[in-house]
Amino acid sequence: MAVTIVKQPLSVVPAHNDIEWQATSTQYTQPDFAFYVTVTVVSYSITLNFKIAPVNNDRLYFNLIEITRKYVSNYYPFQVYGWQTATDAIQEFTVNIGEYYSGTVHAGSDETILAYNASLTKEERRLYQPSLYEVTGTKNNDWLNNLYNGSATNGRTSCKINQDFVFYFLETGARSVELVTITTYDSSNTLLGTSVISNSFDPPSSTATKHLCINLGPSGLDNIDSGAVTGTYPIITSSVASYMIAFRIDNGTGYNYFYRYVDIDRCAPKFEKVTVHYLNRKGAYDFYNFYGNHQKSLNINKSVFSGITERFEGSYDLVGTGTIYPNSPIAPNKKTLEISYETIRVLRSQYLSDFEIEALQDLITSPDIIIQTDEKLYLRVTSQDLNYRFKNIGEKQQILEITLNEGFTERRQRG
Amino acid sequence: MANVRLYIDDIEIPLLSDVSLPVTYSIEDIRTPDKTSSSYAENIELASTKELESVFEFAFDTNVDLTSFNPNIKTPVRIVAGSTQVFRGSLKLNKSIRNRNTGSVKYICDFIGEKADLFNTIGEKYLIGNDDPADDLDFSTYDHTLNVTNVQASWSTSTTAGAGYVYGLIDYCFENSGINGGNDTIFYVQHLRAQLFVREILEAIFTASGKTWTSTFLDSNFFKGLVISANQPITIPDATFNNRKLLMSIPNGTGSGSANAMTWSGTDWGSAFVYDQQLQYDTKSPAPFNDAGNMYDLFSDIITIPADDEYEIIVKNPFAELTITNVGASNGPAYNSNCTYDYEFTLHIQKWTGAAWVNLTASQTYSGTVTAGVGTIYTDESFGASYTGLFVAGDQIQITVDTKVDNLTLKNGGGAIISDGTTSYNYTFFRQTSGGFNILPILSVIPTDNYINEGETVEVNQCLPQNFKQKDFLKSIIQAFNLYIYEDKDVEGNYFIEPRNTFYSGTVRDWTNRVDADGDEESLIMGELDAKRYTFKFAEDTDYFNKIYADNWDRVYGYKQYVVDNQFLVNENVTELSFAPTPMVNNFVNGLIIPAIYKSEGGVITPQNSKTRLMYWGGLKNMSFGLWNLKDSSGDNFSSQYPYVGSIDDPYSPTFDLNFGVPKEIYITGITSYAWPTSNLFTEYWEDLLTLISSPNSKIVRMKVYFDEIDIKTFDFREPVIIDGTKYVVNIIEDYDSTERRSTLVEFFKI
Repeated sequence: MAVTIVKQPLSVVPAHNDIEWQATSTQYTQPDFAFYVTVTVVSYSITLNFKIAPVNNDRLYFNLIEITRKYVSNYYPFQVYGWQTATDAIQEFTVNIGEYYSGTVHAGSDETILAYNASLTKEERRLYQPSLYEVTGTKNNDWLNNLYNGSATNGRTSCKINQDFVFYFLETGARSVELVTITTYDSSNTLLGTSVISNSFDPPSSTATKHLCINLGPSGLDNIDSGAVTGTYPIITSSVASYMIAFRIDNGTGYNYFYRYVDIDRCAPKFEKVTVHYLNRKGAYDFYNFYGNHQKSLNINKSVFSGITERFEGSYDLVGTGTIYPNSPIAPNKKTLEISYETIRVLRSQYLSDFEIEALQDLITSPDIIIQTDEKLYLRVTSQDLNYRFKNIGEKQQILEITLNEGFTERRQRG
Repeated sequence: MANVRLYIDDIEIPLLSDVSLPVTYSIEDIRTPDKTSSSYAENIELASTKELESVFEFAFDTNVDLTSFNPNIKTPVRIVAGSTQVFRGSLKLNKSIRNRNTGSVKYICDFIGEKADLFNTIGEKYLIGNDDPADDLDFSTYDHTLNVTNVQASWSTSTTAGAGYVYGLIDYCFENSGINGGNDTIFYVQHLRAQLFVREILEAIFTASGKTWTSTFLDSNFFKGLVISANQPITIPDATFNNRKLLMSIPNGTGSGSANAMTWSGTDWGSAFVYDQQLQYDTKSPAPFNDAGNMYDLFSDIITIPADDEYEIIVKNPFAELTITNVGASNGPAYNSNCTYDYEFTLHIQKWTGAAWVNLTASQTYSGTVTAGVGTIYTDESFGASYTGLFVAGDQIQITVDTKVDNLTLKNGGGAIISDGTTSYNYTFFRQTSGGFNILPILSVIPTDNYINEGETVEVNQCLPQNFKQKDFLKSIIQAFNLYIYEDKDVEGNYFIEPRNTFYSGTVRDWTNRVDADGDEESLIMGELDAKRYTFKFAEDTDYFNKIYADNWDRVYGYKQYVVDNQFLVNENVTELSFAPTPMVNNFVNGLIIPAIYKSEGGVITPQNSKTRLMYWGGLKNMSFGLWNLKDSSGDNFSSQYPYVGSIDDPYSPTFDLNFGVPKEIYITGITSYAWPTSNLFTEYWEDLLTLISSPNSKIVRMKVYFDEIDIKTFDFREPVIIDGTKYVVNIIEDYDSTERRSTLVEFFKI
């Protein structure tokens, strides 16, 4: 074969990092020689062709990143419950590195890769291998979420009733998360029930089913369909004060279990709790609850235009009767023809640990922010509408303060 | 930001949150339609997304090999604000900008409105004669036989038909047709040319471009009566003409001939003659040899004339060899270089009368005397014959040669006269391009011209102006009638077209309360006035009457110049049509008033090709006196009515002239109280505008006005606007941006 692949990306790669091939050809002395790379976006049935001149006589450098990042999308399971495929969060691409010379394309062999919605740091990329991010059952951090790692005995998370808590999994091999068991407790920590939610996409049968998520927050468990649950149903009742989440992972020779605990926050805090869901580097949505002293303000835009006024401004004599009439003050000289406003929020966190500050860097750089207020109300803001700052409160105590422009123009009545 | 959606190739494209889509709508585009501009949006930034790349195919990548997307081809684009479409047109991709650090890509595009699309679609295509015949307009459905019946039938075409063809009477001074300086009254049917209707041509241009119009003016009876002239004689189709052309030769070294015996007279071998020896041609190919119409019969060597016409017959280099031999002389053999004789070749072009072959022309002779020379002689390149004359279909022609040898004396090597044995001469006609010869015998029978004859089919497409671009045709019509073109927002590809005088006929809108109270109002005093002189003229032509007018008056016939009394401006604004003006000429003996298009040099009048003329079709007119004669091969057709076409609406009582200005002189003479009309293209379609813009009270006013997408959707340039009691028309809506809630700068012209 005339084309030799010198370096190639791993078969499962972050879509937003460089995905580069290096190849050489023995045909580079042919007339009009160029490498001819054909990329197919499998699920979109789109084929793109690139004719690339060799460098250093015979060498090709081809980077797929510009294409992968167009077709890999962020996915959040808005008001859908149970196991979900994270639509377009993972895509299959085929790359064919061939040659072009003497007016003819000579195709090479198809290379298939899966690109998923991640953008890893330089340090993470240096040691990257898919198994570090797949749910394989051989490590503790077996999902794509960053925050709220825990064990069988610690790592409790507080969620308001009807709040989302979404877990994301990358499944590219045979081993996968088989089911999740929810064990509920009352305020005395007495067991109330056990419910099992089986993964309906196990084993993963297509590219789309290799990136899964499930909302296991109080809202997700409260709204899940009974058909998806075996055991206790409904899962969340008024008596439930906390619950344990246990994932069962097939590790090839047996099972591993991973646990998380959720305390349901049913009391009204002093300040409104605002949940901010954000996309982390690995493609999952993490969240952080802001309990601080929030502020809300309005940006108002107003346009003023000429009103139709009385032509004769002043008292007047009606048809020469001698009776003097005062001018009507009602007609305005100017009218407000357009008034609109945007809501600005300033959210403040509670005191942050060093771990949280580190983890919240992904919030600050996130391209997608979803605010969940009033339990079920979602507002989606984009990063350019955000301002962040870590504010020192006393010695060595820090909070995160973020300013969010909701980016939605409200309109008022005209004048 | 309003709820704005952008569709490219019917795919919704995500917009950058800070994108602006400023669209400018300008009356300038309406007034100067040949400009490529239209409503437009420039330098629109679009982010590279999967939706956009599904159209652009990663065109930013320098290595990409595009499969479907072609930046040379228009891509449809629409802007929809709310549920209202505020822009429709085409996208032109200008460039991409890629941040090499972040990898982010933006495309910079222009959106071009539909009116520009009209002229872009028409492009550089000609009315007829395009490299790709599919681009030609096609009126072949009107093809017909040229005869008196069809010509006369065309005269019943309504003056408001707007479609079809008519044979209006124009003096092309063709051979014996025409008024020829004022006295002749005969027009031969084969010398007439049909005129096509302007409206139908315009409609064909629009249809070919996938466009339509809504226009009171273009659908008016006035416009439907306009026709244009064919600017050159109508010819027979190329294939038909080719079938009437014969060009033949014979293969090298072959030929035909015969042997002729001679008898000893006592003093010499006497004389021998062979008459009407047929020349035998047999080479019909390859080109340039041709007998596509099988005129030459290879068996009989007779040419059959395929159609009535004048033909030129040329016989060139019928290379002939004459050889004298003696066999069996008692004191022989004859010494080949000791022969004395006279020789003669006579070439005939003959026609069969039904009873005999007769020579058509004086025979061409090649002759000479050989004294003590060789017994073989050849004709040279000067030998040949030609004839030009009228033939009818079926006439038969042949080419023959007479040969003669006389006063022959043969001597042997010792110089003794040879008087016995058998003496003869051989004559051979052949082609020889070796042995020191390079003589190619040619037989050519070709019509003297390819002009159509009576009884032949008129290809009506030939009546379209040759070498005339469709866009120039459209532009000239627009300029002649000061037409404003405005794209229909509701019907894709449809345009509103009206003269400026009636363009502003919509409902008057009161925008007083739409004016931005915080904005300035700027008035440009006499802002529309851009020249000192406004000149309107037709294209120059070189026919006799246009030429003498130009010589006498140093300007084109029908010229008009409007001079503004302004002491600051010095420049000139010229409007020139691609049509030529049409001086009208009268006949002294029968009252005909018709266009005359011919040239006159040294008193000799001859036909000429001309530029296209824009004229009225007036139908049949009663002649003021006398008769004219439409003559054909059957005889005379006298009439006291004639089919009128010309620049004026009526030849005897004109009220309107299709020129810009009243001519300084006219060529209708000898008619008492004949008054040339003062109403013309300038007074009807241009004068009001120029009076308005040159008025001291003329103003352009610029102020900011509030619009929303519904206003833009329903806005119509045809609708005048009132603000604070002043009536305006809108010139420009500048950078209306549906993505922003702000006022928009509008330029008004006070009327």
